[in-house]
Amino acid sequence: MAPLIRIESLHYTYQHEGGAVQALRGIDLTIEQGEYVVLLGHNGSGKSTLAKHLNALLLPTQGDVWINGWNTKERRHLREIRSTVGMVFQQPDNQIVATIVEEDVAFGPENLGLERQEIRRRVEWSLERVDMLPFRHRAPHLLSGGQKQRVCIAGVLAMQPSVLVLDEATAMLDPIGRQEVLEVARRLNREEGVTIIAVTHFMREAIEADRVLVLHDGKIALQGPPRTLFQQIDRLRALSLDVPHVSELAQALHRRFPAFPPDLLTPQEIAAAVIACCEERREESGERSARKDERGERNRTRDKFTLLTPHSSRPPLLALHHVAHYYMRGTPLEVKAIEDVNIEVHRGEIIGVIGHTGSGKSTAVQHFNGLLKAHEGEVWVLGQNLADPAVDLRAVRRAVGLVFQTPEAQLFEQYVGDDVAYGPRKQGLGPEEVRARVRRAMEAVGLPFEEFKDRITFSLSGGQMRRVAIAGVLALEPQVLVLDEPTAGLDPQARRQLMRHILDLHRQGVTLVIISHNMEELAEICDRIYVIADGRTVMAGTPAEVFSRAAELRAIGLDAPDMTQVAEALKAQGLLPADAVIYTLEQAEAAIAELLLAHGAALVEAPVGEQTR
Amino acid sequence: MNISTRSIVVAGVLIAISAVLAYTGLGYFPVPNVTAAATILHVPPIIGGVLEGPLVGAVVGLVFGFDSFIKFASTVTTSPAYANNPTMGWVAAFIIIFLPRLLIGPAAWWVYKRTRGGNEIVALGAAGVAGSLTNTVLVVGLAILLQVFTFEIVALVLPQAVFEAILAAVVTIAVVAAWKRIEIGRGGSSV
Amino acid sequence: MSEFEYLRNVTIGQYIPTESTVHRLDPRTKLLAALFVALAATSTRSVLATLLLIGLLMGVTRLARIEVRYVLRGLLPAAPFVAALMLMQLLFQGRFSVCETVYWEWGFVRITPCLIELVVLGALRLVIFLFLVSLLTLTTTASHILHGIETLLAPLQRIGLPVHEFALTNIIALRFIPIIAEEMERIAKAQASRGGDFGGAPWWRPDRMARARLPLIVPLFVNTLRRAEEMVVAMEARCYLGRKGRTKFVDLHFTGLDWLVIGLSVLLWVVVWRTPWPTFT
Repeated sequence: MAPLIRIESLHYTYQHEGGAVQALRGIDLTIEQGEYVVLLGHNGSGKSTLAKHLNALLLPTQGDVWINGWNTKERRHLREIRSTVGMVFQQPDNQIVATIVEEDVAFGPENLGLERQEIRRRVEWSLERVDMLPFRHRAPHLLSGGQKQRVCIAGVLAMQPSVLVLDEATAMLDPIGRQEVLEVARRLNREEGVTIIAVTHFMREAIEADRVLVLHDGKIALQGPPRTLFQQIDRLRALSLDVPHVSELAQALHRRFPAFPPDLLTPQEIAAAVIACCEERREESGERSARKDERGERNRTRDKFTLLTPHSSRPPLLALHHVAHYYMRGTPLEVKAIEDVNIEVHRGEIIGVIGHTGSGKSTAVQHFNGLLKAHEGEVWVLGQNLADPAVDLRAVRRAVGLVFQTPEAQLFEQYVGDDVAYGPRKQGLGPEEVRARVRRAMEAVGLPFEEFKDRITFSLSGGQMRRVAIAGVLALEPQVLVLDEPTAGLDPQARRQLMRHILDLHRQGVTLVIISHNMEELAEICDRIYVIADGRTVMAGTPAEVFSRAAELRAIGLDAPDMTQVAEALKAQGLLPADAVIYTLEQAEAAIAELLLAHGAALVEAPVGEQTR
Repeated sequence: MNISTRSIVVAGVLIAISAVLAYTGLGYFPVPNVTAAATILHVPPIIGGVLEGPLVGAVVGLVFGFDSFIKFASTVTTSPAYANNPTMGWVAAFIIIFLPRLLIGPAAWWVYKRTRGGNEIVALGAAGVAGSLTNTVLVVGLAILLQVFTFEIVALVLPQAVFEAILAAVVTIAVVAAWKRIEIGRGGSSV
Repeated sequence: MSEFEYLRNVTIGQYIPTESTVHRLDPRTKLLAALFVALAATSTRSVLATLLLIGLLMGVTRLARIEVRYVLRGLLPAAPFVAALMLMQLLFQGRFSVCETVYWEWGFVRITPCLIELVVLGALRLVIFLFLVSLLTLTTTASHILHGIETLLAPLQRIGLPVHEFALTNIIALRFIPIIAEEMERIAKAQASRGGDFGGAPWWRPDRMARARLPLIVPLFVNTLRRAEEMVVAMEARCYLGRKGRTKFVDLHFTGLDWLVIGLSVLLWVVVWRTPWPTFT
């Protein structure tokens, strides 16, 4: 039987800004029914271009693509090909056609010309598969991102495809939404035998796969099962991908203790491996069981104790005290957005704000520059109470720069320089000063002034546009920069670059407030972290304090960093002291190495020469 | 008739933009005037015409026309000329209110197609002005011709017509140039 | 309330699911009934008949288990507009008014009792139209209204009019309205954070007025057109290849009550049209 998908020497070239771009340069690939394949690669590697060839949205410039034996170049099979290979894209909002969930799911079957009864059956079946049946009569704009994306998947499933292509379908979702979508994909693969092809730049999503393909420069640079592939850390880095901390930890431990398995993929696997190593020893002596119980006890008592914000004697630069805000206030549609948020920011700090989507964290930070007014509570900015009508809001907005989520969506000027200059010009500064500020702001985000000022804004790459937008805020020379999900949707390379520039700003004296879903990122850079849940500040403290309460974080829908999860599992077994502070790779490596050394029976430490391989 | 998916979607989103501009008031500009503020609600049909051709322009205008029909049909049908003749009232209302809105997009498209040989920016400006004037000139002209209003209403509407034409030109140029990455001709930023 | 909450105004004409008999009627019935009431309203020049029609609509509102006050409050924002229209009619329609009595004449302005009656009639007729639209949208979801329009217009498909495409266009428009409103709020806030305001130009400089609002309008159009591009790809990936060979999922059913309501509204039209209602002039 012919394979489900067969691709032979596929080349694809397109015209962009007057030049020819070779997006794909000779891809050969076969995918069988029931496989779970992950396509990794940074932006511009050609992974999405390849995905769009799978259902004839793009046709090869050279070479062939066969789906179920149909060549995609033959237009008469278009309907069959597209109903065989279903695609889900990045932005759920741009895929949902109808204004009622079930009518949207019916869109595909309607296009296939099915009978009304059959459409109804399929709509119900596919909504059921993605756990969205109770929402069938809802309007899509009232759903969360993860729910919307599941509706999109249902819309594709209703055509009963053999293959489901997820083209960066998780990139714009929060961790919960991402989990929801991956869970559905996994289930469809296992239970319904649907072939999954997931295009992503999140390495962690590749863990589920049977096979991982890494695209680079329009070619397949690496492929194999995740376990073997993830061991090639240096090679993956060279391809601008992020290696999960878990893989790095496993290999670091393997280098020191060759018996430690190098190919572990999840925090649970690491913890299990460490426990297994220690168990052997424990069985020999049995001495630790008593100690373990005692530790478990201590763990439990600690959970009851609540952390308080460490109050400094200095007055804070920014403060929200018991702030509440309601949307659509005074209408029948009034909803509570936040009800008791407390945040204090001191000069020179880096503050992290975490909370799942809808927790109110974005609403909270919009009080810092007076975009929103507190309905209850107080907002203090630079020693002024914003409730005071005498406060000059423009001055406040200049002092507290606010960078929104996907800020590139606010660019409007034709030339980069003019867009960055919008703020300073509105402020009424002279041309010399404007020029100087624009130069400083652009260079602070790594856009050389002379090279970029006359570039056309809308033809820059996504990462560059985001930096232009941030420069537009920096040109106001704020004392505090508030960033709402600054790296969301960027590929690892662009993300690292942007974070570097943001940290440089901090070194130059800018105080930072960062909202993020990326716990690893926050754990490494923040002085303090605030956790917002359901419109309230529920935790505050140093990363060590906050992440040591992993169970509570999970209860409000947040994940602790992977390293903390490993540590928590070990603490639960009494292998690590309950008060051990572990949230970075280095901390985890040191603690586990020490633990393994202490239990050294089964493990031999590698000679020093080999450690530094 | 073969209508592309793109035409359907572009027309859809432009209608949505019109609706949002109308609801939020951001489509209106305060101009001292008796009737209403100057509007840029005729810009979506213009942009539809310029980007996707006369049919999309007309469809976007049609929905704008329907909204106007609800607002202005009573004025036409209760005017002394038609108060005693409901059938003619409806016909006049359709001609005065719907027809001009339907023609905004096609007029903009036609002018754009004719003038784009030269400077793209000039062509866009011309399309904006043409679309806008198609609306005001036809509405007022037909209203006078069909005896709904006396000729003197021109004095009232003239400044608004001029304002709207300028607004339409500025917005059309800015939006289409940004979308199609056409250089406005300064060759660089002014910093 | 915040200066950036643009969607707040859109509460007027929102669907209120009270599940009344009126709600359960087929959308086509309600569209046709609205059309016949509008025809009835335009078939008489009697202020009395028009007031009776407004009374009838209030009755229907009660039947739909919606507070009449709620609907009227929704019409209130239109008051300045209605007043402006009345003024225009008063100023610029007088010359066409054939009336023996003339209260006042100056240049082209001629105020007569007949004209005043017509101006009042015009305002009331507009109230009826707005009332009909509110009532329709309060009792019918927008998506049902669109399916109703599509089905009613379906015969026109045979003479080559793109009815399916038009309906799909409107469904997409409806789908995008909340997305665009939200986007607008975000852009406005982002520009405000950079010190932007969207006015400040003198009234005699429309070009500068327009330019002051470009930071809002340009991203709105550009982002929305970009969404449209993605939507096209997503639709085609879901086998949308035009109207040919397509079926429809949504099914509309007429019941006996629907036919009764349509019959009654036709009757209403004929009665209003044929009755010699008293007029003042």
